[in-house]
Amino acid sequence: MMDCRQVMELLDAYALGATDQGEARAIEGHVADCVRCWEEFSKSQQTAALLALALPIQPVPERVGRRLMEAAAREQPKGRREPRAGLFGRVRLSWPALAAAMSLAGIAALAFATFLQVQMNDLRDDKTALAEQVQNTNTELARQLDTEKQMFAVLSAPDTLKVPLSPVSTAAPVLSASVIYNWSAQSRKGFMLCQDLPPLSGDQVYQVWFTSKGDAHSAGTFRTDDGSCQMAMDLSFLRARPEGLGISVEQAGGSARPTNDWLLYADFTGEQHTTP
Amino acid sequence: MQDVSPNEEVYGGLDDEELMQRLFYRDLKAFRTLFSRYGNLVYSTSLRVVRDSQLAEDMVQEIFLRIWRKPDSYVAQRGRFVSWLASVTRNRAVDEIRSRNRRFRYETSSPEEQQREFAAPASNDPALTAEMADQRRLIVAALSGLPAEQRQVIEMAYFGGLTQQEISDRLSQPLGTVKTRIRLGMQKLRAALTPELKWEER
Repeated sequence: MMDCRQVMELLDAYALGATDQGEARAIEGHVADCVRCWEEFSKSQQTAALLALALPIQPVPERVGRRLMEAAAREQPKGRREPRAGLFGRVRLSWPALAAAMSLAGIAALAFATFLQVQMNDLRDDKTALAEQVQNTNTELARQLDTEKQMFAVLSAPDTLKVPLSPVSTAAPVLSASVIYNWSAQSRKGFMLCQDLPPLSGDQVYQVWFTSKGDAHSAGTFRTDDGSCQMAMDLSFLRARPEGLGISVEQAGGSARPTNDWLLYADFTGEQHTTP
Repeated sequence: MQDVSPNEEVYGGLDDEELMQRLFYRDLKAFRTLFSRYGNLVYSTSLRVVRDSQLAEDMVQEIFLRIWRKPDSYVAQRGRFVSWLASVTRNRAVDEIRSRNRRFRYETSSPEEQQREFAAPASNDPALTAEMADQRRLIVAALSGLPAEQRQVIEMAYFGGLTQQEISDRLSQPLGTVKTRIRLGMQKLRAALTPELKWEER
């Protein structure tokens, strides 16, 4: 087993793909359970990923785009596909229990994902369809695990703020909704928890926005079956410290700019907010 | 094919993550927009690793089709789309050369040749967004500020697909030296890129 120091020393090499298989497996196992190393791990990964941007640009031949679009159009199915609700759309945890449950759920999910990985390797080649199903489940679990880690990173930051969103629209169903945003300026991460959001029609989504200098920047969209949500947000793409967070209802797929009034909004510029 | 022509009026304003969301609805225009934004990046990266234009073209097709078929393989919480796409491309290309065990895997070159591996600050991709162009300027500047031997090992690992041990063998340098160069080089890159992560104060 590698300890934090050994892992930290290899993270840059891992991000460059320069570790051997044994080291890579040990690092992956460690960061799955260690929030501190996981944060460093993400930073190394992001730095390495930018290297490709430094290459001289070679224009891709036109025929490639043509062939690609033809192939994609051929695979266009008849019906419309709804995005699958993530595990988080279905699993609902009460707020105080959440922090305690997170580490346990993380370990369980990882154990299960590892188990599935083994299964998947056995299935490869001859039973690809089944393997793909397993892979989908794996992706789903990885997504859940990432959300949990991000929430944990926010909660363990020294400067975590807990900000309730207030209803802006006076429509009755919104008044009973409860939405709380937790964020840490230092770790550049945040997450939002909601309960009792009103249901939307099939072609609508909730879209979350950061406001900054009179502009709104999309933080993503979500749908919910039971009015609850758990959404992790990475703030590192924001150029300026956000001034507020709003939720609007948009057409499925999301909008470039808010096209409807705020349903709920939190202003970060006003009074001091409570820390948990 | 009229319905798949790019429509910048509608989609130019959407960011990558929003375009990815639209793929769940099998939106060909969103897919087209992503390709027009990043086709060159994926091609350049593939070509740099496999060094064979036909193979690089096939990889572009494969990587984008996989995104079209499985948009949920991108997990937004893990980071920006472009970082993910660059990693997917690099890893796929390295798998390819490893499985073929091609002879053209990293050939040791002089520091002068190394210098040319990365872009001159002036060259740019017109398809890149302003934000990406900024990042590109930063990373090119950061790389050119590294000592040649640090830049070399980073390059051999990332684009050559070599492990630290393999780099040590090729350069006839102790493994510890290679490890140190990688760490120092990456630390400097990260530090040089950090201003990008700072919020402007009001």
